[in-house]
Amino acid sequence: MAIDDVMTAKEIKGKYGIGLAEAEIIKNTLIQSVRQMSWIHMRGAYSTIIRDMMDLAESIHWITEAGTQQVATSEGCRQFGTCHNLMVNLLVKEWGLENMHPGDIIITNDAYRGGLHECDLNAFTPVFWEGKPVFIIGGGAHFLDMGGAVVGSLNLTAMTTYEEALRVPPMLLYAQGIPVRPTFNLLIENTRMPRYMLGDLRAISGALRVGEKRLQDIIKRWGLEAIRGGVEYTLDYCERLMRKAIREFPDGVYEAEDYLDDDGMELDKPVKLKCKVTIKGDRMEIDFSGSSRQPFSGLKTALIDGTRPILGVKLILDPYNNEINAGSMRPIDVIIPPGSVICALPPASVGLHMDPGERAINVVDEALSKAAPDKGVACGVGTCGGWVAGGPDMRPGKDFAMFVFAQLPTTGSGGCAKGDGLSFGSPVIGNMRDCIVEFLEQECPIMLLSREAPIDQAGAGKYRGGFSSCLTPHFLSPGIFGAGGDRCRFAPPGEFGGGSGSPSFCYRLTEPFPPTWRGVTPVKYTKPMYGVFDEKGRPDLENGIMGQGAEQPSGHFTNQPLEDGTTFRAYVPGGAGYGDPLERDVQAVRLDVWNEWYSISFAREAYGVIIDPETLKVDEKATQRKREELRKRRERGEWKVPVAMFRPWPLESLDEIKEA
Amino acid sequence: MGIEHIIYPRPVEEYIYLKKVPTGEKCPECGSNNVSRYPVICSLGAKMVVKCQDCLCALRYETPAPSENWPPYQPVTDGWEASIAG
Repeated sequence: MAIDDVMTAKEIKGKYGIGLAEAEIIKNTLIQSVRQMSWIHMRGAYSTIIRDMMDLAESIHWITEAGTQQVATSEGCRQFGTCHNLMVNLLVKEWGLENMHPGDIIITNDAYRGGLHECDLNAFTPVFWEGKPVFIIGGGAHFLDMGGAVVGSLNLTAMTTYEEALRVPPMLLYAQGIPVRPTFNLLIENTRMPRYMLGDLRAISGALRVGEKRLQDIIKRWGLEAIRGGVEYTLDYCERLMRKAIREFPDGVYEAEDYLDDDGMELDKPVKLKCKVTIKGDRMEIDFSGSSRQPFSGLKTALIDGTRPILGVKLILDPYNNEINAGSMRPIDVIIPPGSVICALPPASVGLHMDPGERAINVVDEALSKAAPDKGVACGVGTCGGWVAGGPDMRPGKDFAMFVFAQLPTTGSGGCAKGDGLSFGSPVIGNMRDCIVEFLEQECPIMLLSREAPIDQAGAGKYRGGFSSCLTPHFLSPGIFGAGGDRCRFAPPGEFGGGSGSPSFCYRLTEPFPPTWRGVTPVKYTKPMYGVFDEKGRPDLENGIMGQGAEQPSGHFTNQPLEDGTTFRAYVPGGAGYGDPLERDVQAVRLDVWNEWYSISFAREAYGVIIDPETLKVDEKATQRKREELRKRRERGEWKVPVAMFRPWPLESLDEIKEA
Repeated sequence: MGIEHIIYPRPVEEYIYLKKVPTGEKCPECGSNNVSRYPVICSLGAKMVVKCQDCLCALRYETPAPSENWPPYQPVTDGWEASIAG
């Protein structure tokens, strides 16, 4: 039976045994408690990826006879929050509540037990009240190195978890409040950054201790029965929101599919992600049947995509309410076919889970956009576009200490029915921040020479996509590096007539500071690293060949040698466009040109807007004629919205750019 | 538990589909006989759902039997007595 959208104070008192005010206070206290845990975790962490980039999240779970129910999760990397609901249920089944004691902290990073990948270590502790466990609280974060063959532990070519990284089944990190020395030693002695490992383990443990005390305080303040009522109210509240949002979509079956370029090993085989979303009333089922089988490389996931798509659903259905918990998941069942790219079978490697996760959300959102175009969102970048570098830090005074840096650039989201895509945000699975450059340069032998949005990157549309950052790191020590640069072959697709965002590609620069304008450097100063290029080395998805003249045949690679003095520039895709670009407000196009987001040539070729290069004013009559011409050519199949990309890419000198 | 639940081969099929098994039950909500049982991830974790395929009414969520391999990985030590270290 569907729950009513709105409950009166009297109904709340009758159902939960507490007043509306108490229910709301308890709900928000739980949310604030989990936020406080994350702030403690973030401030205490040693690693840039946790402390500065917020690759962490905490969660609170209520224990019931039917299983545990996640009641609150913090901002930060929200995929932790979604996976913890499954993880804690599996943990309780395996470990047993009867074997948990006050002060215990149990850790695991096992993707086959509901986790993300080996680098994401999770810690859980029971919260006792009057001798019984009533809550389990969890924390998760990306640890920079978890051992294995590759610095940074993201080993693309590992086919199994055995050669990937240290796989940690549930183990006690603290037993009744006492550190378990063998567990600490196992982690510290088998990973490359022991100082960071120790600091980050203590940070996550400290966050759980704070959360434990906070929850005990609120139980003492309100009483356990009131807390039980408040927890059930909070779960039902999120369930009501989600059911209400689903009901607003028409019943039906909506399908979508998209592709990962390849898995980095079988280069001629794109990896398909397919989903079917069925909506009936206030219920939804997401079925990923028809997706590719698990690839050989680590570019796949285990169980997480049974829960992570809730982030995509939330984005489309209910974007204005921040809370996500098990109540939000009640109306939705997710089918992940065992043996597929998003339900790999053990012991297959799953270290590069990020891009399959992004693509799974892309296809869910694409399917939901078909259900309700007025709420639709075009594809975001669909890749984390990250790179990992590591090795000995050879700067004076650093004593050859190992460094690992995992970079996750800010990214653009797709345009939507209500406006342009967000620029410099986060991939959907992340909700994280970019690094703080000064800290990066202090802690790693890397100088970040530029971080900017390249011109003509966002997909054209009535509402254009968002812009992503393009990064130019310069390395001061040798080492190894790898990249997760998907969407080289399959640029983020537009919705409802919108154009694709620009694809991924990467150049090695022959000198650190070549002449550059808005992310465009003449080919003379570049060597293609990965991407689709023409025969002269210019990025060109529509006419080029994947890997032509490039060092790497794929955007997915790891363990490549890095020489001291290397400089490269990585271009993350742009968000895709929503709706017909020929219907975009002419003055909005002019503003984008004035701001150097778009070139005059792209405004003409993708939007049909003619802008005077001297005055930057729109020629209204010429624009009308151009748009009419493009419409007619489109009807005849002679024109389609071009993929976002700066077309007059210079070969020798920036002077070749006559029309910017 | 045995090691058959921790090591699996890679599937031979290029694309993977989940098979829903009809139960022959009647949906209590819409009366349809189109009811099937299959593995899902839901708010209670990894379960087998018995669900009407016409109205998506979940008749019940069941704990999977070990032979159903859901979720696929099941620790060899499942059911062992716990030591002081877990």
